[in-house]
Amino acid sequence: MPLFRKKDPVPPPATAAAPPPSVPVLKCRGDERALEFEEQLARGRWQEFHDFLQETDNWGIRSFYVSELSTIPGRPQWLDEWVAARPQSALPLLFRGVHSKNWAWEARGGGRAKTVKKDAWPLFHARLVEADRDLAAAAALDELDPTAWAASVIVGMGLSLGQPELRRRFDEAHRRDPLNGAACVNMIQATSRKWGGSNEAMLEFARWAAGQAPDGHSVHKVVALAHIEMWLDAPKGEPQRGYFRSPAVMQEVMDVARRSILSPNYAPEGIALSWADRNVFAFCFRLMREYAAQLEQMRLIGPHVVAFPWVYQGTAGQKYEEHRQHAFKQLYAVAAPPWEAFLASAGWAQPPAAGADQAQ
Amino acid sequence: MIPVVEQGAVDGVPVLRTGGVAGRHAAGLMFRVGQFDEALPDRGVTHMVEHLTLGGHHEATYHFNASVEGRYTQYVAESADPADIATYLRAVCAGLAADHGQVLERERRVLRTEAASRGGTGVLGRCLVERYGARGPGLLNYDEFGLERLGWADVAAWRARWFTSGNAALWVAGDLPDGLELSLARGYAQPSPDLAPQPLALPAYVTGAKGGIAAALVSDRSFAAHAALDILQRRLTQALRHDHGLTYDVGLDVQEVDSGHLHAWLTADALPEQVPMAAHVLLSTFETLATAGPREAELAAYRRRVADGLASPAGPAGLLQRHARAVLNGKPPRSAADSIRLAAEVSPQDVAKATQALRESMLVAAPYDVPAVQGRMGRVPSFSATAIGGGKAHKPATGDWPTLTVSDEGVMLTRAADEHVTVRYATAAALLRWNDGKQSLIGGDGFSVTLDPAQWKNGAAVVSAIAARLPGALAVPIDRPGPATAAPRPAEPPAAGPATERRASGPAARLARIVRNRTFLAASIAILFLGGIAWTASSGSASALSPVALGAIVLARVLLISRRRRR
Repeated sequence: MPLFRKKDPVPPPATAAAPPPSVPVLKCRGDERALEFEEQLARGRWQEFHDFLQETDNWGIRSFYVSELSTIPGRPQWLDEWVAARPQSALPLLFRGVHSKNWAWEARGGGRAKTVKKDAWPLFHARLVEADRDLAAAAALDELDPTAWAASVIVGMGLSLGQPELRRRFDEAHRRDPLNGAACVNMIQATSRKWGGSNEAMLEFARWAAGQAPDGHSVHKVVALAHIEMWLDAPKGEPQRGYFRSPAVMQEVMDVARRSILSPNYAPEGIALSWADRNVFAFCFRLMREYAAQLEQMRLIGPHVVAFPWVYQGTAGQKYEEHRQHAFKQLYAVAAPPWEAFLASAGWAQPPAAGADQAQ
Repeated sequence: MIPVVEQGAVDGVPVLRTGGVAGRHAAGLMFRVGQFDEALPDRGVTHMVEHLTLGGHHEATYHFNASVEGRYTQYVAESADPADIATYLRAVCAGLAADHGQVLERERRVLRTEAASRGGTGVLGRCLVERYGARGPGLLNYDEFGLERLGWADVAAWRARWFTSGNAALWVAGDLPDGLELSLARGYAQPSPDLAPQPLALPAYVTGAKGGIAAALVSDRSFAAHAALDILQRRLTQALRHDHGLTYDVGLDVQEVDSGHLHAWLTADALPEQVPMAAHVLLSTFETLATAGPREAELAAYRRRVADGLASPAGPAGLLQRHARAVLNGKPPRSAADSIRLAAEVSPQDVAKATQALRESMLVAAPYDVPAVQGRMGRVPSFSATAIGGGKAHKPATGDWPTLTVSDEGVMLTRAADEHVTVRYATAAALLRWNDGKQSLIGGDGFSVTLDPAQWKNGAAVVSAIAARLPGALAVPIDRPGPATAAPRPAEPPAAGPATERRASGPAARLARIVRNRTFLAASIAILFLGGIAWTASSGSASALSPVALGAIVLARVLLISRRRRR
C-alpha cells in the first residue's frame, strides 16, 4: 500500500440493461366474461356474479370463475356483505372460503417453508382456518357441489392435516363429480413430498386418475403435473436438467398428451380451461426438447399465456417468450417472429390489450 | 330408584345418609381442605396429614383408602359390615389426634417415593400455573416442597387448623353403624383462598404436550356447562376415534377450583403425525357446538345419563359426596330429584352458550405450534409483561448475555431486548435452595429465575443477596444437588444497530479495541511527533527526527484508512 497516492477515479455511471423480452400473461386467461365480473367485483357489485354462478351447472366452469376471481389482494368488505345477504346460499361462502385460501398464501408467500418469515405463519394459519370454516359451511349447504371440497384439499394441506384427511376431502369431491379437475390438480400438490406426501404417492395418484379418465379428458394432465413436481424436487444441476429427457418420463408425458390435448376427442369443459392444459404440456414439451410439439401448443394457446407453470422458472411472460424463441432457433435455426406476427400466423386476431398483466 | 338423602349430625359433624348397594356399606369422612389451600413452600402438607393419619392402620380386612384432592381430603371405607365403618372412622379420628413426630421421617420417604413413581402433572400443570400462578390449582405444577422442609410442628399446626369437626362432613351409603363416634378436634369452617385467575388473553395455547392434544377449560357449575362437557366428550369420541381414527381415548377430568367454578381437562391421545388433524377436529367440534348447539337427541341422551347415574349402584355415593361438598361450602345441597329436573330444563341454546364460555376460557396444550391451533389463538407469552428498573446488572461468567438485574424490587433475567423474566420479592411464592448453591426464585405468577452461582460473576454473593431479601418462610432447603442448568446464553443475538456488534472478549480483543480507538490514535500521533521534536532538539541530530516522524505519519495514515472504512 503506497503512503501517498492519487484519489480513486470516479467510476462511470452504469448504463441500464435492456429488459428481457416478454409476452403478456392475460388476467383471467383473457376470458371476457371473467374480466367483466372482475371489474364489477372491484366496485363491490357481487349480485350479477352470484346469479351467474347460481345458473352454472358445470362444475369445471364454476371452479374456473371462482378460482380466477378470488385472487383479489386484501380482504374487500363486500365479501362479508355478500355472505350476510344470501344466508341460505353456499355460493358466497364458497367464494369467501376460496378467497381466504388465496389470502392465506398472500401472507405466506409462494416459496418453500424455509423462506417464510416467522411472524407470517400465525396469519397464514388463521386465514386457512377461516377458509376451512367457510368451505365446510358451503359444502353443508350444497350437497351436490364438489367445488368447496376440491378447494378444501389445499386448505387442509396448508394446515398439515395429514394425507388421510386430504384424501378424504378429495374423495368427497370425486364422489360428487368423478375426476373433478380442480380436485385432481389439487391432489398433485397435496400428495407431493414438499407438502408431507411422497413422490411415489403423487405419481401413484396421478396415474390412478389418468387411468380412470376416458380418452380426451382434461384430467390426464395431472400426470404431466406430477412430473413437473418431480422435476422441481430433483437435485439442482444435471439431475434436474435431465429429468424430462429420461425416456420413461418422455414416454409417459407423450402418452397422456395423446390422450388429452392431442386427442381428437379432447373436449375440455370450457375453452378457458384448455389454456391451462396446453400451457402445462407446452412447458413439458420444452423441457423434453420436443420443440415441434411445444410450438404447436404455443400456436394453439395464442395470446392465452397463463402464469403456471412458467412461473416456476421466473417471470412467466419472460420465460414463455424465452422458450418460444429457443424453440424456433432449435427447430428452424432462425429467430422467432415477433409476438404479434407469431399470433397472426397462428390465426389469432389482434392480441387483447386489455386485461394483460405485465407484472407476471 | 332415585336416592333420597337424610341429614343429621354426630359429635357436631354433619352426617348425610342414603341407602346403598344391598348388603354393602360405604362411608367417607370429608374435610374442606386440599392441595389448593396450601402455600408453595408447604406444598404436600395435607398429603402428609393424610398419610400419617392411617400410617399404622394397615391390617384391616375391609376396603379403605384416603385421598387428597384440590379442595377436599377424604377418608373412605367400604364393607359388608357397618361395624367396620365405625371401626375405621374411630381409627381415622384417633390418627388425626395422635402425635406422629416419631414416624414423620419414615412417612416423608414414603411420600417422596410415591411422588417419584407418580411423576409430575406434565402439561396440565403448565396450563394450571399459566392460569392461576404458583398458587391454588397452579400448585399441581410443582413438587411437594413441604416434604423437604416441614417438621412435625408445622404438620400438626396445619392439621389443627383444617381437620376439625367444623370443617368436616360424613356421608354414609348404607346403614349408620351403631356406636358411631367422630372424635375430632373442635373447630370451624376455614375460608378458601382467593383463586381468581391471572389476567391472560384467552383462548391461548402452550406447547410441550406429549402424546396428543389437550384443552384446559373453566366453567361455572351450571347444568348447561355440565351438559356441554358431556356432549363434547361424546362428540369428540365419535369424531376423533370412530370417524377419523385419530385417537384411542378422549378423556375428561373435572374438579372444583372453588365453590363456584370447575376446571375441566379434556385430552385426546394421538400419534405425532395425527396431532394436527386431531387438534383441528377438537377445535372445530367446539366451534360447531358453540354455534349450533346440540341436537335434541344428544340432550335427551344427556338427561337420561344424569338420571341413570343417580339410579345406578354408584349413584348414592356420588350424590352423597356432592351433598357433603355443598355442606362444607355452606351451600344448600341439591337433591337427586332437583338434579334430574334441572338437567331436563337445559335447552340447546343454553348448551351453545356454555360451550362458547368454555371456548373463551380455553388453554390448549399442543406439542408445538400446531397450525390449526396457531390459526385460532395466540401463544401464551414466554416472558414477563413488565421489567424492573434500577438495581445492579450482573453479567454471566462468560460472555455478555443474558444479564441478571437485582434491585430492591426483585430479580430480572434478560435474555435479549424485551425478553425478561421478572420475579418481584413482594409476590414471590418460594425460594428453592439446593445444597450445591443453586437456587430458584419462583414468582407468584409462575415465572421463575433459576441461578447457578458458578455461571455468574460473583455468583455466590449474588444468590446470597437475593436469598437475604426473602422471608425464611419462603425458603425450601433441598438436600440434593440442583438441576443441571445450561450455561446462560441469549435466545438470539441482541438487536444489532449500525454501531453495535457482538463484542469479542479476552485481553487481546480488548487491546485491539484500544488500539483501534481514534482518540488513542490521535493522541499517539501527537505525542510521537512532539516527542520526536523534543528529542531532536535535545540531541541536536536532524536524523533522529526521521524515525519518530515516520512513526507519526504511519499512525496518521492508519487513522485515515480506518475513517474511510467506517464510511
